[in-house]
Amino acid sequence: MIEVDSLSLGYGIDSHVLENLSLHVRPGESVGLIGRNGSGKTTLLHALCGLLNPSGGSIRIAGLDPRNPEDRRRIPRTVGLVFQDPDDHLIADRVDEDVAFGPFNLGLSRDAVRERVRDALAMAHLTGLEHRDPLAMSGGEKRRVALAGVLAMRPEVLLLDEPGAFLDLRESRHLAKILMGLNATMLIAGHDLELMRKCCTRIVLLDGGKICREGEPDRPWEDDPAFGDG
Amino acid sequence: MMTACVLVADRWPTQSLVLALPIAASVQQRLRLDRMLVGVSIALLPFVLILPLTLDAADSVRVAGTIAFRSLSMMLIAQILFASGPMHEIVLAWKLPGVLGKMQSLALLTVRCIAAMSEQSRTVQNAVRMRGFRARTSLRTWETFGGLVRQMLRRADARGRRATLAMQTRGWAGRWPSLRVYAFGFRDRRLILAVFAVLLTIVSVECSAAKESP
Repeated sequence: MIEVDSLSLGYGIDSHVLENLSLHVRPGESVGLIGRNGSGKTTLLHALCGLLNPSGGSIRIAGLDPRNPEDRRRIPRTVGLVFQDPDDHLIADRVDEDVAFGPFNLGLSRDAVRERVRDALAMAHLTGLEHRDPLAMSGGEKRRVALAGVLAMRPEVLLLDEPGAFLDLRESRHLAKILMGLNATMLIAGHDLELMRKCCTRIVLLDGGKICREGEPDRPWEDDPAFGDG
Repeated sequence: MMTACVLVADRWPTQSLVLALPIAASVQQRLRLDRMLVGVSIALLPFVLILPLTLDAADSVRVAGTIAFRSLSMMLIAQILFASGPMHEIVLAWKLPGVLGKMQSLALLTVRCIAAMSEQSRTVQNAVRMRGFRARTSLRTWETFGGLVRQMLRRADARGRRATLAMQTRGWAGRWPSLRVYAFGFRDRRLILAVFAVLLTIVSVECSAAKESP
């Protein structure tokens, strides 16, 4: 489902955030992406969506090549990205309008959009909050609105950038419950190991733009110097 | 003085109508007009005070009266069109009179952008306040204000870029349809008729004034 081979990407001429990185994710698999701040987690997610252009290597995601302009246009139909800051997602003045933004962009009819919005809100445990202003909601609720907005697109691959950031324990568990109930290939970047252990079948540790370790979620990842304890 | 009264009275019915219609529409829309009326009155005060010194008595009274009537009418119409509800709702409702989808999307994005900028402004102001900043009449205060504006714009720009990326990942293609369906009600029809009548009267007054002027 996700095939990344020898990927290199940098923001400047000499800087390389990702260097020769290879990662393969099978359909239906949930993979956690951990690493220190600046290790390249967000960069990798953005490259997978075609938001950043790699300087080398290749990417195939759900059979699409993000570097190909034609494929890049089709990516929103199959790949969903939930940004680190939910405020970046929220553009409308009502929860249902915000969630409907993506399905409308797919060219669906109003009735089909309504159905998708209803389903996505139910999946994100937001039923009953349709008419609330997303900007006036709590951090956890905003994150669920952002997730619902992506789920309404019914993506085959779901990329989540630090979904547990700024969430309290209750909201984090709430989110884990939602993610566990999803039937999509997932790549979850972040530092929340509790969330990863619940939702992921494999964890990959990034350091200096490369994968330095990968394995079962139950391993003591906290002790690894590359995770931030060193 | 007599001539002035005649000149004002000459336009009195039309100008009264121009003012009365939007006031009636505003009352119907339950808009709060007190602050706006005080603001417009203060803004018009210099004209009313200075004009008699620059023109002869008859002309000055007529011009001052005309300026007052027209400004109030325009402000009332603007108030009805842009402040009679949440801006987002008003822009969405523009679809009814046939405003183009692209213009609507642009206006919605502008509304969102202004909201993001005011949010950033609040955050930056709170950040400096919590670190002991107090505005004084010193160079440092102005430097700090300059820095705050720069910081606010940078943050708003960064947020805007991220929001654009987020929209692109959700397939943004320049359209922003809405789930909400709007229909004209009886009150809306009356309001539109009132606004249309006011605009028509203003145009006719302008045309007749242009014809009369040498």
